[in-house]
Amino acid sequence: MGTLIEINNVCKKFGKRVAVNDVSFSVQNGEIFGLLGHNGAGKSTIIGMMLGQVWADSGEIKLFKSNIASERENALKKVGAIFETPAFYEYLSAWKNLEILSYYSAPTPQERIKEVIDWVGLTGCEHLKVKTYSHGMRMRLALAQALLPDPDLLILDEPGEGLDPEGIAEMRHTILRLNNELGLTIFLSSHFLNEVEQLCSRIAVLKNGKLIFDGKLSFIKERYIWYRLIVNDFQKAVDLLKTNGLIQEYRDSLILPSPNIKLPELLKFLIHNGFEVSEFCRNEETLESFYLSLMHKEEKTNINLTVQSN
Amino acid sequence: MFRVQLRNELLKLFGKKRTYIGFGAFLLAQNAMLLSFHFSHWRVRLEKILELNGYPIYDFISALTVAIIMLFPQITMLMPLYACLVGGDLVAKEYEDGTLRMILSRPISRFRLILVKWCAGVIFSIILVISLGVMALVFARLWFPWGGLFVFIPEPEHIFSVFDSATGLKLYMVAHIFLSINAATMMTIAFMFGCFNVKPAAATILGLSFLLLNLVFENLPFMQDYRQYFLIHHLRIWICVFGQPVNWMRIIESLIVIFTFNLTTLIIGMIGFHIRDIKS
Repeated sequence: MGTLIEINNVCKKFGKRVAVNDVSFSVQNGEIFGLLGHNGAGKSTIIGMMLGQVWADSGEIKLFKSNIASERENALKKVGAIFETPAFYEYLSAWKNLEILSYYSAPTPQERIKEVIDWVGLTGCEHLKVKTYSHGMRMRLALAQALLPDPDLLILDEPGEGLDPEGIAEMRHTILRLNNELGLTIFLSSHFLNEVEQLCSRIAVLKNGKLIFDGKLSFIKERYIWYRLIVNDFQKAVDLLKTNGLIQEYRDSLILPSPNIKLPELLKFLIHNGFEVSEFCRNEETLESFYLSLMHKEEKTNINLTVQSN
Repeated sequence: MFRVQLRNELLKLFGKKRTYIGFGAFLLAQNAMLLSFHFSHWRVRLEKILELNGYPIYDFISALTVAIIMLFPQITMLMPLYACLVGGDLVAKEYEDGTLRMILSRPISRFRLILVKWCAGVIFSIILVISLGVMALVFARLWFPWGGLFVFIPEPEHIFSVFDSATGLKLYMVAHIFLSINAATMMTIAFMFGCFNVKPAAATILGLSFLLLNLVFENLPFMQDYRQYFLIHHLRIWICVFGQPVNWMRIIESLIVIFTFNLTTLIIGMIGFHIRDIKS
């Protein structure tokens, strides 16, 4: 399993604003990797830097072991990219658009263009002008142009933006097909946590340009097991549990027990202290709850939470 | 690959309707000028000049003479506008539309991309000037007989020349070679501005402003001795081909200046484009 993307200590400022602050992570061959973060967190800047469109102030980005700044042609030879709002030459046909874009990579035979048009399901519409295309058709065309150079890595910047629920489901299905059938490594940035949870094997989370989490989704679910606790006075109960080191964190009606704490002991402690426990059960950690808990933490706590897991 | 990329750039350029605005404007302007030439005192004045200098009027009030006269306002007003419009669009419009990001996600170097686009702009400039010359001559021929060429440019080149129709046509064509260089230079100025982070309209306006300021400064009375330092002075070589004898030294000197200017402008544009961030 080789490393396809290596991002090492990358920083980028736009004027005085720090867009990306000392970010490092890597993506392995065959992964579906999700980059999450709020608006302005630096996701698109990182994608821009990966594609050599935005220059990093410091640090190094390598795709396929080639530095994007100094070996652009090698780095991007086997890369396809799709942006949030794919732009085409509206006054030309889809076929002409694909022909034009393909020649910025390498000479592409007509059969290959036909093949990708078939794959994305645009056969029959390829000679229509792009201005007549719907948003969904444009997304398919964007996928077709990304697939033209027969890539090993596909970079998707907010791929579901502007799609209806059916379109989003189709997009998810397509990404899985690309990963399973064509064996592509997928790097995507998205706001759709539900989609990311269903698609990605690993995620990285950015907050204000800083990486606050990088790890496997399975790791999140195993590492952070929350329990629902319904008692007569939740605040008083969690204060007491925290003082005694029985829990690490709490939110709403959820508690995260400290490592090595046995649950019957925790319950016994509560009852012993006069609390009426009416419900205590395991609460499956979702990506959304994990993401929100990361976002709502103070900066200091976030740094402690940064995990590098393979 | 370069040839195919250039062909594709031309396909994009000539696929857009706005590319043809210039051609349409020339068509209208030329016919309007022909009408005014035919029915105004302009013609009488020209006849008087010829008569006073002992030349037969009917030999030189010809399609060639009228085509040359029509060139002046078009070259001063319309050609810079349309050359700058296309030059400013080549990079800046693609950035504005978002297609530049699609291109730059591919393994093409920024220098190569700029070079391909600039070459497409130069080809457009040549086609624009050829069309201008052919249209002017064809329309002039519809209204005026074929005959010799009379060129009278009092300021600043002091040219008064008459040629037979064959020589006149040859010189008319040579003048268009130099006019193509002029159009390409004008396009290159706007193209350079378009390589920076500006809107297409801003690149066009900046290009036109540069040319206009050049013209204004060159014509200031206290700048008479410094004319050679202004680009506009060198862009007048197309007029020099009608001089008798032709001042080849002046033409060569101006060509070197224009070539150096274009090279510098292109390099500035390339560097500007190379160092900038391309973001949505």
